[in-house]
Amino acid sequence: MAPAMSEASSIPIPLPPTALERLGRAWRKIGRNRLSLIGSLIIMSLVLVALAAPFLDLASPVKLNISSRFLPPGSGHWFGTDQLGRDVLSRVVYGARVSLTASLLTMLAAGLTGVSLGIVAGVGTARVSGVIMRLMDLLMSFPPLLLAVAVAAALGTGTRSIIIALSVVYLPRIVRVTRGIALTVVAQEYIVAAQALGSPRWRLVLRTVLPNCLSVVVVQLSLYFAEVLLAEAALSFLGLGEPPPTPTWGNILHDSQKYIRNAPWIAIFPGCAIALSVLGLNLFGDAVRDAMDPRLRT
Amino acid sequence: MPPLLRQVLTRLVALIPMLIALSIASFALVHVIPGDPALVMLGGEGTPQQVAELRKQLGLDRPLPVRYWEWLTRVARGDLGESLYNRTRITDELVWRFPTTLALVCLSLLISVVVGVPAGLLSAVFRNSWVDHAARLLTLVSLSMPSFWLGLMLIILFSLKLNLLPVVGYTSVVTDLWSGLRFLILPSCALGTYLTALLARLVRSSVLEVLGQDYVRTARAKGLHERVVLFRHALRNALIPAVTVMGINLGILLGGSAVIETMFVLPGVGQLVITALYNRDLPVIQGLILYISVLYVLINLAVDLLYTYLDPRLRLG
Repeated sequence: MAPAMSEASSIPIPLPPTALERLGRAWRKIGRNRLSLIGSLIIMSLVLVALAAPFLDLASPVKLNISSRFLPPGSGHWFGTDQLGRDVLSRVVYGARVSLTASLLTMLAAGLTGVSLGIVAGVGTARVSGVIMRLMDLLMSFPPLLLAVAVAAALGTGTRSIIIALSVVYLPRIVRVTRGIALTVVAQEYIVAAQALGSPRWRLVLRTVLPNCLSVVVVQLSLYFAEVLLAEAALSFLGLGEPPPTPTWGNILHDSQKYIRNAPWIAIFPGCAIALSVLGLNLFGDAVRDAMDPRLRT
Repeated sequence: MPPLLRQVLTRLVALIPMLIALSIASFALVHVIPGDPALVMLGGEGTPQQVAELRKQLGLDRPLPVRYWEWLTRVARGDLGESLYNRTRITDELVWRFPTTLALVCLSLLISVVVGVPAGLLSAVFRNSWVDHAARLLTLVSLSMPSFWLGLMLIILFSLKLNLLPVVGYTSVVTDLWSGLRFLILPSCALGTYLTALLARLVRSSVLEVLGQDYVRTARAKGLHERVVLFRHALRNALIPAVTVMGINLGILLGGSAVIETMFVLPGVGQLVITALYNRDLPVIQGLILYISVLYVLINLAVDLLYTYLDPRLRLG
């Protein structure tokens, strides 16, 4: 009895690669790309430094020291000191904690809500999908940074408002991408087959539609991450983020404006930190995109 | 009716519910901003009685739908109301400030087209040469810099170190075009760099794609000069997606102009938005957000139509 069964099931059926297999294949491809390696190295070292900040031998980022104001970069203070005598290196490192966390939480919040809404809009009834997409159209019809500024102002200053504001800006973009993919996935034959086999709807969505959408959505998210980081810096530059004395890359730059004539280093270094981290994310995001979806390759 | 005209009309009609929704959203957004405008106007001090009186005077005590309707009918007549902060008419302020923002955005757009398109084309034609590598590296770096930081760096280099351009200050482009433009050079470079890089990257990839098409091979095969092939066959087709990208990114320019104007102290519309937010100047925020987003929607519509015009394949649908 048993041998007959195994014989019947050993007929080779070519299966399409599962989402997991594709992810693994893409991952190996990313590893081979030198630029993505540089990108991930940049991001990892920034994250490590930000995490380890309290254990590094840094001056306090907030303690005033009037006697050592406006010191140019040198051996004592690698990045110099600011108008209140605070160490700029230490402020940039501690600023990374706020800026990176805010961007990451924005991606998580917008990503989770956006993917869920996008999938619901992709597999739901015409009415549900219509309501969701019209709402997203409305959000998309505001210029992005302006919408973020308005929402952040409505909620009051602080990192929390920035996270919510930027999530509102990126939500409709993520929903659109996810829905688009979900629609093509739903039309695939293997979904029809699963339906024909009597697989319940929720199971179909969770086990088949979601994983197949994720691979493409993740690519888009990694590219949005860089944009969010830039937008976060812009909002806190405008004074909508964490209030001083807590350093963020944006608010250090805001304060530095008044002193650029005599102390340009206060402005130079935080900007380099932003540019470096965005560069890292862009390198990584491009590589992920190339590996996952050859059609999007530039 | 010619199909293009019909398409324009259909799109315009479809815009109406969107505009209504936009007006409700702009109105509602402002009413969740914390801080009683009456209290703000009195400078935070004032007896509860004074506050109540002012609230009545401003109409803040009446129900929201009533206030929305009144606001909408006034806006429809072109009256955006008065600033709570300095009592100026918002429409006048907008008319006065608009040329600055328009000049800034147009100049940024011009820079991005003049630099970005040739850079992308060169990159594609000399693929994998040092020109291509340099252009791509520059593109990547440009996409990673925050515009306002780039602005600060430009000030340090061109104004403070080289003394070539004024640091801040402003002459309106309306009164004196040339000296006005001098003040706009650095802000436009700062604002336009991101879009320049985006365009360069896009033009590169779409030229590469077009160069692989059959019609380009045909054009070469029939002995056309390479220059004709590049400009008439390849670039023209490759520019179609670039137009869309520019349309979408006008929103980035409009939003970014708020940051850049604030930084360079340029009296544009964006700077007014930010100042109004700091002052909790409700009518101004309301009016400007509505104005800018309507403008944004109209620009996007125009770009869509331009796209259809440029690409005859889309006209049939």
